[in-house]
Amino acid sequence: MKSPHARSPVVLLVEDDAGIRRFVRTALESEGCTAHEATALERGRIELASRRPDLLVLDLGLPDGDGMTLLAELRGWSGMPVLVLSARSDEADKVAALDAGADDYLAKPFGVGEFLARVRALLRRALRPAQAAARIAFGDVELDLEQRRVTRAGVPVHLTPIEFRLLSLLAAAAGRVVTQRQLLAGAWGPNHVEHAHYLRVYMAGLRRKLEADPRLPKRILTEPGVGYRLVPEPLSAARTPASAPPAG
Amino acid sequence: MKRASSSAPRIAPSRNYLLAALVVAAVALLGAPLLGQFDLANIAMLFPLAVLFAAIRLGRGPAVFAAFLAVALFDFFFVHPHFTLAVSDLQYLLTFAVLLAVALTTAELAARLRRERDSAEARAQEVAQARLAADSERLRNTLLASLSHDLRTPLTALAGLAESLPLAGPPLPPAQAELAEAIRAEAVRTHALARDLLDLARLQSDTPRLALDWLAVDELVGSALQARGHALREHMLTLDLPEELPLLHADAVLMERVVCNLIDNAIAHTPAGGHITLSAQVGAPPADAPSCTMNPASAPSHAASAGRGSPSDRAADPGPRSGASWLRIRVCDDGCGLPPGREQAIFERFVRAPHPRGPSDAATATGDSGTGLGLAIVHAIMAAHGGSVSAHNRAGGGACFELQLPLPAQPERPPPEDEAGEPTR
Repeated sequence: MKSPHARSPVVLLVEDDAGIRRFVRTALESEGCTAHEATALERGRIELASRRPDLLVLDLGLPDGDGMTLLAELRGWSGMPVLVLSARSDEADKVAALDAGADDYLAKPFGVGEFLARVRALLRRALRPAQAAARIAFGDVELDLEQRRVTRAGVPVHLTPIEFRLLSLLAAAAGRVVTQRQLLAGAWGPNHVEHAHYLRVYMAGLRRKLEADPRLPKRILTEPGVGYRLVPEPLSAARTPASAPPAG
Repeated sequence: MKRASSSAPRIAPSRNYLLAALVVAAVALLGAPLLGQFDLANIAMLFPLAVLFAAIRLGRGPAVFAAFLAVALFDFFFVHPHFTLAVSDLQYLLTFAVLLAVALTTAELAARLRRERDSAEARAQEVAQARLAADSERLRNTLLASLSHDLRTPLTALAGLAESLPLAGPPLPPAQAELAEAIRAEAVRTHALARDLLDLARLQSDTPRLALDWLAVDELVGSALQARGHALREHMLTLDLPEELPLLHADAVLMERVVCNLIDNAIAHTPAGGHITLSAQVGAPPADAPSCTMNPASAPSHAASAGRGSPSDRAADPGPRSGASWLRIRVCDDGCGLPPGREQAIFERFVRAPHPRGPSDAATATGDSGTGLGLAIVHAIMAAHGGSVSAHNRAGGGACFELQLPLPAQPERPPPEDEAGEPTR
């Protein structure tokens, strides 16, 4: 990875499968990262404390326990980005990991391209925290958090307060998925986390105002069963992988 | 579920009556030598024992029979004059009455106890059976989940190792890069097959688990098209989605799968440059819908009725909030169409329509040559949601797949924003 920093980003990989460790390490090194490995929860805990990596890649199913335990412990003392890997297919597990503080999630099987795209997005945020700035641009849309102003191709766009809050939540996590629960709690408050249909109505409104073709969104993507993801750069760069196997 | 045995004692077989008679006769025989040494009233008290036995072991009918027989035998053998049913002393009538009353009451009480015991047993058995069914369902789900988990990890490693081969050293010569890509594609395809088989098994369990949520149709279609964007790039796509479609209450992941599978199917059977149309509208329930439990066997009738040109010429709107309306989503292509007469067979497992020309290039583009389960999964998912899927050929060539889903009463709209200048649409 062409890091703006002199040192190469340090990534800790906690994964028990040797084959996956091998290719993930190869992929990380090809991006210029330094990869450290742990094969179980206990070792991961030690490595995490001693290496202080820039990114943790965490498998959920480990021989000595659930990766969620480590995630919960880590969130007690660090906000470092965490990419969760899981062989569980249930979307509920994704949501649980994200709500517990994971920054992104990859379900197995995942491809190298998809993996690296997520790693890049997370490291960008970790290594340039100052960039969590007042102005966020995606495509021809510019969002000014301080002035609470949104423009599209230079033209001001009127957003309702809730639309603005939703967009800010998505933009703050740009590139990463935000769960329905997080969006509902952030925009309407904790009493409304079950009202998923509110989101359907408001996301349609946001897309109408911000997408070139709201029926074929390129910026505000739906992650079925999980939440929404704002894509800051053109999709071709994010490279949706061929490895997400199509349904038979 | 009432067991047959619990009602059996009420219509006791004649064998039970015979047994009851034998028991009473045995008591009479036992009492005979005592005649003269014991008071007649004391001998009479032996008979209720026989009735009690009959009531407990043989049921109510034989017990009542035993009670009357006991009185008759007591009168016949023990009461003076012997060996006749005549009674010399009227006080014996009181003995008979008491004997009969005690015997009948005993019979009734014992029979009731027996019935209660039987129904308690039946209940226990029902509970045990329900627990067994729940256990085996749980076992099945655990097995499917762990099988899925155990296949996923090595296949991820296999595909990832093949894909990272070019990253590990100097660029691979083209022939080797091609081999590495072939290994990756095979691993991905194997995973798709395993996943489809496991999903089908899961969907066909008695109670498939659905993560029901409110879904917007345009989001559903949008995310499916997003997922299939790469494979669709050589086809012309037309979207015909009216604004303000009602929300669905369905499993988001499964419904996206349905739309993706239909798109994959259309791509696979339509040559590059072909046209694929995706449309949705609200309409009346399908003609054969009243019993909500659709199956593909019910489809031919609307396949026939829907065999018309453009889907958009259907007037759609009994009002999006009407509870009785259905959503129809159609995926139509102008490819080679369905083999005539096979419009239903294609929803069975491992049935594939022949590809338009040569091996499917579209399927290869998605890294999957099709598992032959795609449409079976569509059907299973629709059935799990109380909906259905049907297919027919279009008059002008090509195939149309139509999904039908019952629309639920719509949820409350979000509260209006008061501090905003304008209401949200």
